[in-house]
Amino acid sequence: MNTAFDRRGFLQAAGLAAASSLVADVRAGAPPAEGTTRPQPRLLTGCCAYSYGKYLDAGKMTMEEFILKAVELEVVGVDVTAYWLKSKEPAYLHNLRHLAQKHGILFSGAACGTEMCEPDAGKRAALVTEIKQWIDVADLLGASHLRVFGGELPRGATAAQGKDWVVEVMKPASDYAAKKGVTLGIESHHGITSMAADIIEILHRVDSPYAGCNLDITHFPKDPYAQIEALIPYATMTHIRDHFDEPRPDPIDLERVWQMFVKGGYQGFMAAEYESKEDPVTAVPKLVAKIKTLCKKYSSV
Amino acid sequence: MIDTLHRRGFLKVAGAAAGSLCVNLPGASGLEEGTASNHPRFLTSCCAYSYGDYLKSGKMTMEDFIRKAVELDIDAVDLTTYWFKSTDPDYLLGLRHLAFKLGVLFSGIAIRNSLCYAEADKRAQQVEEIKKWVDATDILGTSQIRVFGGKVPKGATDAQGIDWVVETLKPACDYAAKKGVTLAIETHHEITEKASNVVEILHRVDSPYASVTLDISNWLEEPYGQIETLVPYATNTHIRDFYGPPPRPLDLDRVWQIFAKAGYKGFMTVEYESTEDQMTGVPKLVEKVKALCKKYSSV
Repeated sequence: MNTAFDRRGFLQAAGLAAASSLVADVRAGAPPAEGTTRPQPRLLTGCCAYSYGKYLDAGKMTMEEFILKAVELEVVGVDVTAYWLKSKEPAYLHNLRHLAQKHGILFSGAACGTEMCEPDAGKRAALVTEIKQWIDVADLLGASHLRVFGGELPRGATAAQGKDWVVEVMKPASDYAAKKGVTLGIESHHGITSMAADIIEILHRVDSPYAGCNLDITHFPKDPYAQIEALIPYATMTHIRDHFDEPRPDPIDLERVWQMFVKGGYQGFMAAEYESKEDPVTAVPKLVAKIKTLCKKYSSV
Repeated sequence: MIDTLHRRGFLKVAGAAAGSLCVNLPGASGLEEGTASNHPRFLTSCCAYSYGDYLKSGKMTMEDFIRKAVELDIDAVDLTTYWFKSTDPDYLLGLRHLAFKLGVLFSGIAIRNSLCYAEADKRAQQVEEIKKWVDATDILGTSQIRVFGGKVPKGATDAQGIDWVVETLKPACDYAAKKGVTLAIETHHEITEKASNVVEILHRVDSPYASVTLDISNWLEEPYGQIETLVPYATNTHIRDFYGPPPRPLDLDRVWQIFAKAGYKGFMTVEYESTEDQMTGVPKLVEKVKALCKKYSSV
């Protein structure tokens, strides 16, 4: 299959010897392999259930109500943060799938809280089992993406060890995901996934077309724009906020971010993941409005 | 479950007897009311059938067609299964993965079948065939299948034909429900030529997993009235810019207004079928659909 991803896979393989120059190659915009479509940027609007976490936590909003929120927010897709699913029962999940289908709402994916950086081999095996269950959940929803976490590096462990552990979990999990048509996206989210280079190394070593990066643009401790740019070729899903994390919650130049996604030929969802003090009911629509404006400006679709 | 289609279907039946009943319906919550008609959602899609000449001759594969969506700048593709290599899970997962990587959505799939057989064994066979495609749909990660009503056998009445369609569609929908897949019967001449027949079939099947693929072009007469009747039941559409036979032009702007008024939420799916070469003909029809969706859709 001549997919854009396979091309990336090829670049990844080719670049293994010189990982630093690989990033430069991707940035330069290598010509598409023969038979591929031109890398038209397709930036679809989405929103994570997490954005309404306060309401979902308090039971003031159900997952059904969140799905219907997408109609009001006028976004294409919703991302189902699994924390607030009532169960993993097929009947419940099929109801959500049906509700979305009836309202012309797509699932950009699901997101679980599993953290893969685990020193204990027995516990790692349990994590693989846990991720498999969430892959089944995504599949029952008819969604093709699942966000997973790298996790914090345990005290005393080296980054090299941490990456080994993550790879040992993500590889068998990706093999299982492949059988269901679901892609695993490791989120750029502190800990072992703080820096783009570590995520890229993990993905090279997992070496599966069903492993990608859930690119959260906000969590990088330094050089955020360069880190984002390095990860775009691996991105299978994106989380958007308009400011970086504490301790330096500077506003993000979203226009610059969108330009990088366009240059990288990104094809996927740009999902609002709101997390600030203001009430989500008033704040999420504002963040979504920014995303919609940028997608309208830069997306081919 | 808050289910617009089901509620609407119920309202239509119940409403004839008592119009005020709607206030008592559990599905009619404030949220639901607030999101219904004022947010029409029109997502753009294209049927593989639009490139049928190329797919049939092997000049285009289903993978090529999925990539076409990127070039056409549309949200989704609808997979006409006539040109699937197989229903092998590996093949279907390959298509799902390709689409995912390209950010191309599936609006659904479409199969060739008939629900209108006089013989019980043939109806049972059809149910089995549909079940196979429900499984394939699930593997693709999409949630609806276009099915055909079919032709009333010579000598049989429409009433008999409707009975047979219901007897086939009902158990098929029960199975589809278990996979989260909707069966959307297409308005496609024959037993589905009149909107009233389609509405009767859906009321009698009485499943939230039964709906309409509203092909706006397959009418002998009164296209706008029939479309308007069926929009509340539609979960997918097929768009051409003429209706017939004989072929007469359709006022697409008027059609979009009808969909917008009813608060339709779903795909507006190009199904090109004209004499012009599909390579040049399809993009022109897609442009019309995109322009109208931009004009009338909230998303």
